[in-house]
Amino acid sequence: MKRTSKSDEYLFLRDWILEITRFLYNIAVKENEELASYFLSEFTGQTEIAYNRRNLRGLKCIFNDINDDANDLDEINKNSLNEILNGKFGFGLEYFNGKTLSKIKSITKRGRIENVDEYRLVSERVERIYADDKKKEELDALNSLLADFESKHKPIND
Amino acid sequence: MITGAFSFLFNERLHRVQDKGDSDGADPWVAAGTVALSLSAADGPLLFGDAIGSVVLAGAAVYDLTQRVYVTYILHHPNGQVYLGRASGFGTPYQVMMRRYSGHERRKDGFANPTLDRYAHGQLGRHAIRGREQQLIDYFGGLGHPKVGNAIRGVSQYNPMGRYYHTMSNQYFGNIAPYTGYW
Repeated sequence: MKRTSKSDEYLFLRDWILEITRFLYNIAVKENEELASYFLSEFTGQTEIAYNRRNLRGLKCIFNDINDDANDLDEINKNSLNEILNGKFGFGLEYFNGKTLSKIKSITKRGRIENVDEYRLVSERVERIYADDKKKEELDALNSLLADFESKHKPIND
Repeated sequence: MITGAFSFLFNERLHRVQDKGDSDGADPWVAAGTVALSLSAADGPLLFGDAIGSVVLAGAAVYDLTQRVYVTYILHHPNGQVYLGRASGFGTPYQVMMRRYSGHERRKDGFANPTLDRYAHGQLGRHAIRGREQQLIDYFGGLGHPKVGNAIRGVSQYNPMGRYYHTMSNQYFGNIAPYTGYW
């Protein structure tokens, strides 16, 4: 992916979030129409607000959350979503999953988590692999990083 | 799904946790609280007495175990502290919690005795569980409170979706703590 400016980044984040939100809404509406509508209006509304206010931190929060949501889809729905994303953006969820894994590898190599954003990234990875016996070694390494950060991080509301 | 047969348990649990008087009451969705009873959510069986718990477990058995389930749980430290967390996976909610606990990073610190709090299925349930985790942290006093072993919030205060997750949790499980995010 090539980004040419900060404005492009804001625009990309907004469009990416909205595309996935619409897709997830069509699934959620089968669970509960009323709450699915609330989900749609809140995610689109807050994304537009963050975009208009140039709130990059907020946009990235929503971006990470919606990607996590999408990664929890079953394979059939995930493939359908990836087709849409590939058609519109030229890449799908795996592109960012790869970037996330690279970031986690660099944290592991460094041997410590440096901030809350990294903590959340590692924590989400643990959530993805904790039940996979083949990834026990990675799980132990990440757990150690999480525990170390939690023991040293002064609890603050951030 | 919480059926009519379980609704009294749901309300009983709500009353119990709301005795602390933390309900913010300002949320427009709270007025539509009965919606929660028709959603894919149920009370954590371990918070009830054994007799009641077995009824809830029987109800839980009708779930599609191939569907991802989202749970919140509480770990207990001998010094009285609690650690509040969430997990997801396949199987019964209890199995998911125990599997997560088996490799939990805070076990080495002495946190043990995992207790299932709530669980839900589906995309919307995922969001409700996110809000529930944060409400649990706030219910026990929030970050920095001597009772709370968490060092990191469940949902960042800067997350624009924080209030949405909070509201979804209210819808599914009832409110147990006021909203503490910025947005």
